Order: sequence, then C-alpha cells, then structure tokens
Amino acid sequence: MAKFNLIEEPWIPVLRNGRVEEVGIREALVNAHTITRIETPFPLEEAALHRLLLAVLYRALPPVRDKYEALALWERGEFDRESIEGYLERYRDRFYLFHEATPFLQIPDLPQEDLLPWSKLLPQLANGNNPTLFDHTVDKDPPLASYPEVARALLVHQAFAPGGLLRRLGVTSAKDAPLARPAAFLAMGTDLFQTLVLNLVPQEDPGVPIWERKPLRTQDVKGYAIRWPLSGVGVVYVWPSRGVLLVDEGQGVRWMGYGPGVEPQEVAWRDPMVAYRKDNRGAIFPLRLSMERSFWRDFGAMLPAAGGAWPAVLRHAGELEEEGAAFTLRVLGQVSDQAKILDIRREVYPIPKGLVTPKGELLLQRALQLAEDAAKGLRGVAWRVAQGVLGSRDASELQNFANSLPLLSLYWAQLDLDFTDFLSRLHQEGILDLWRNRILKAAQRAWEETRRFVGTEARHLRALAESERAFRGVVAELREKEVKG
Amino acid sequence: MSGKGFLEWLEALRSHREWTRARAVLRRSLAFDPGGYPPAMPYVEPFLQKTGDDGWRREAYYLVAGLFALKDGEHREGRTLARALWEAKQARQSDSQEKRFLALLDADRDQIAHRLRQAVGLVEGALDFAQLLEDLLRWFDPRRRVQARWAREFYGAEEVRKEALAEGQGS
Repeated sequence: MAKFNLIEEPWIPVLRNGRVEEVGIREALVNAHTITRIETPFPLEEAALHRLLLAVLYRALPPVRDKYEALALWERGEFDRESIEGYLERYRDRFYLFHEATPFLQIPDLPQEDLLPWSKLLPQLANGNNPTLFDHTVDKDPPLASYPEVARALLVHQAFAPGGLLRRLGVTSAKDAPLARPAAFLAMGTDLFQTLVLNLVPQEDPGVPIWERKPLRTQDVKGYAIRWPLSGVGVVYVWPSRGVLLVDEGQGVRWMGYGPGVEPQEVAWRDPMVAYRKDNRGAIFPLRLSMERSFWRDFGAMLPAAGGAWPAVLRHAGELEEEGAAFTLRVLGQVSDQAKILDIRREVYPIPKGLVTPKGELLLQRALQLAEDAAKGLRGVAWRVAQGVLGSRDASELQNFANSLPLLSLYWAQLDLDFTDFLSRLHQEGILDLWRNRILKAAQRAWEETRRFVGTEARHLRALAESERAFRGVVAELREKEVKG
Repeated sequence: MSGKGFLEWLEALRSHREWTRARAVLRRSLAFDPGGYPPAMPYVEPFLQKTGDDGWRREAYYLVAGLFALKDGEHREGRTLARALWEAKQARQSDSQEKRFLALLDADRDQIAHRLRQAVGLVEGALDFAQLLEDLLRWFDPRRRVQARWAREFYGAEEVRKEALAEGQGS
C-alpha cells in the first residue's frame, strides 16, 4: 500500500513569512521564491535536504550549462512550475516513503528479521558506540518517529553514514556515505530559490537519480553485488549508502530492516559541494571538519595556490555574485573518528565580493598564513613556559603541560570571532594590517590569561619572565612581517 | 604618586644636619617589625599623617625609610631592586643570588622585611626607592603583578624594562 508521498506530504521544514512550516518537495521547489530557507536545527539535515532538491532540479529543469544560463534563471526569480510539476508527476510513484515495490530510497524486500531501531539513522541520537551528544535515546525501546521525522532521518543517513562494521547480507563492513567525512559547502541566498540557483552548478552530465533507476532489490546489495560509479550530482546527492526498509506502525516508525547499500566505485569525480586539497604527495583529499579547529583555518588548503580547489558551488556562486548576487557560505558536516561521530557542525561565513578571485585568494592566503605563523610562535612560547615550570622532564610530559596552557586555545577562540569580520571586509584598503592587529591583540590577550593561569609562585614567575622574551620575539616578528596585499 | 612624595620627604630629611642621627635610627629600625621602633617614628609619622595610611601600607613606608637609610640615601630613578639584583648576579656569577631573589618574590608579610633588608644589602649602588615603595604598597595584591614584573626585570633583563615601568604606573 502506497503511503506518505514526499512530493505532496509536508516534511521539509522551511521558514516562510517568518514562520516555520513543513512542505513537500513540489511546494518547496515550485514556490521556492516564497520561502526564506530550509530551517532545521540539524546541520546534516540541512545539507541532505538541499541535495535532494538540487538532484530533482538537475533532472526537472532544462540544463543550466554556464554562468549566463544560470544568470537568466536567477533573473527569472522563480522555477518553471510546469517543468517541475511535469517531472515530479512522472516519478510520483517513486517518492512514497512506504510502497510495496518502490519505497523511496529503500529496498522493499529487505529481510524483516533482526530489525534495528529507526534512531540508528541519525548520528545526533545516541546509539551503538556513538557518544551521547544531544540525546539519551536507548536502543531497546525506540520512540515512535513521525513520518516526516523518519523521512528526514533516512535522507540524512544515506548521505552521512560513516563506513564500518555491518555484518549483514554477506557484507562485513560498509562503505562511507558520500558526505561521511567531507565538509559540505552551501551557498545561501536571500530565499530558497536563490539558494538553489547558487548551488545549481552547471554539470555536463548530472547522471540518473535513484528514482529514475530500476528499483533496488536485496539481491543487488547482498555481498555488494552491484557497484555504481560515485559520479554525477543526480546520483551522488541522493545515494543509497545503506539498504533500509522502514516498518510502518500506522502512526509512525519504530523499527527498520537494515543492510548494505550500493557499493560506491571511486572514480575521478568531484562533488560540487566539497572542497579538495592536495597532500604532500600530491594526492587529492576532500576537506574535513576537525574537532579542534574551526573550519576557516583550513580555507587556505583549498586555495588554488596551495594546490587545492574551491568547492564548485563557491566558484559558481562567485560568478553569479560578479553579476550582483549576494550570498553567505555555510559549512556543514560531521567530525568522525572512523565510525564514531564526535561532533556535528554548522559554520556560517560571509562571502565578500571578490573572494573567489586571484586577489581575494591572495589576501585570504596571506591572512591565514599570518595567523598560523603567529600560532607557531605561540606554541614555542608555551613550550618555554613548560620547560620553565617543570624543568627538564621528558618531552611528552613537557608537551602535555604546554598543551594544557590556555595560550593557543584562547588565541584561536578570539580569532574565530574576528575572522568573520575580517572576511566580510576583505576588499577594504589595509585589511591585512587590520587583521594583523587583531592577531596581535588575540596573542597578547591569550598571553595575559596564560600568565594568570600558570600561577604566581616565584618559580612560575620565573618561567613566565623567561618565556616573556620568546613571546616578545613572536610579537616583534609579527609586527615586522611584510603584509602588503 | 605616594612613592615620589615620600622620596621628596626623605630627601629633605637627608639634606638636614639631623640626617646623621636619623640615618642611624632608621637603620636600627630594620631590626624591628616595621613601624614598631619608637625612635624612628618622628621621621616617618609626620608624613603618614598627611596620607593617613595604616596597616601594611604604614609598614611599607617604614620599611622603605629604613632601606633608604641603609643605602645612605643613594637614589637613582629607574634602577629597580630587581634590576640591581640581576646586575649583582651577573657580576658574581653565582646561583645563590637567584635563590635569594626567588625567595624574596615568595616572601609573605612576616618574611618580607627581613628578605628585603638582605637583598638591599647585597646590591651595589643606588636604587629607585620611589618605585620600591610603590611596589611594596601593591605587594600583597592577589594578582601579584609586582612580583611578575620583578621576575621579568630579573630574567628578561634589558628590553622589558621600559614597558615594565609603564605598566607599573598604569596598574
């Protein structure tokens, strides 16, 4: 029995006229220009929902082949209702959350034994060996999830599930979902229509999305029987990372069948929402979020000068911006340690005019370099303090003490606050000097706090006094640095 | 600034014929608790009446008066005790100077008079007594900024001196 069609039923939370409501796929796209944005507290949900809408657009709209066509679309101000409705109508049967033959993004004949609680779909719910981040759900008695809730969870899981132990259907270890490790970039305009156009990066071949393909069966995923090349936005944006079958209990879902999904075949294809960097040996890696640092500190790695690449959405949005569009950047994703999710992040950055230009890149690169150089100096200072306080001990002990000092964490915490402002004023005259002053201030304040932290016994004061010279060296070096942009 | 005012007071005292006797009395006072040696009181109390200080602040004035006498009034602006101690350490190349200095930094109210007398006795030449009084007045501030600055003057030597003085006046 077909039930809960994602095209019509409300399940995508959006902000419209200042209020949060839920809409279906059709409403979200056809009236995207009346919607401010997708509004969810969960960063991963935000990324996954945008990717689904984009995948539909790539197939439903006439292809946007270059910046001029993108601009024409932008100026239209809304999506073509007929194209979207016609397309969705054609694949209507494939968008049911529950369907005997073609449940959306699931496998209809998955074995119904050894069911798992639906909460396994969400990294923000505690289960398995995930640390408890936001919630205290337990595995034995999963709460009943509403259809919209479980539909969103399904989408998130397919996009973000980290690989790891599985032991089902002849597969012992599952592969990473496309966004399990990389950070996803999303350019945000002033309404959902703009946001979608900004992220609708021209593609030669968007590929065939899952709802246009032959429905998956258990035999396809058993022992990873089939593999699809990980390529094409239409495919990768809604990728079947796992075999899932939601069990309908009438008013909601408590349990699900679970197994492997389609095995991804690594190919040379770059996800438009992902930034890439080159490592020392020239291999290309997607940029990840990290536990210790805010993401902006890694902006440098994706700059072309460093052998990296801006995410295609940023380049594309940058091109539209030249023609008058304005946008902000969101970086969404999770921090994981193998299969364990440690943190989920959403970082928001202003994107100034002309960032994605050689001049903007150069300024950004210099600025990041300045901050990192000063940090390196401060690490040396922390080390001196450790030596001064502890005397000659083994290196790891000294390092532990140095790490326990608040010097670097305070320094970066302050710059985290300052960076957004710096970025939004990137095009200003003398911005690098301003940034350098911020760095100096951050360093000085962190050093003051560190002095207070270390202690005031004579031996502490001695260690601090001796390290003070090293600190002054760092400051002097920073002051003298040539920073012409 | 109380340091400057008191220094002027002491300098005036020194320019009188009576200084010879005053010097002996004030030096002698260092063997007692600061402010606890009655013969020294005529030389210090009149100044304190203007400022109305009591408790540790009162003791600090007595202590500085005694140390001033110990050095026979050799004052030089800018040459702090920490710096003079550093110079003494350079000259004698001995670790005991540093140990004494660290002990001085950690001195509490019972020990400070004794340790200061020792330290001042160790150094050659003039000292900045105005600064010394300023520092002693803030010696027991829980943030221990004075001690931190002394440590910087002692270990950081030359280059921190100017900034340190500026900071001392600001706090």
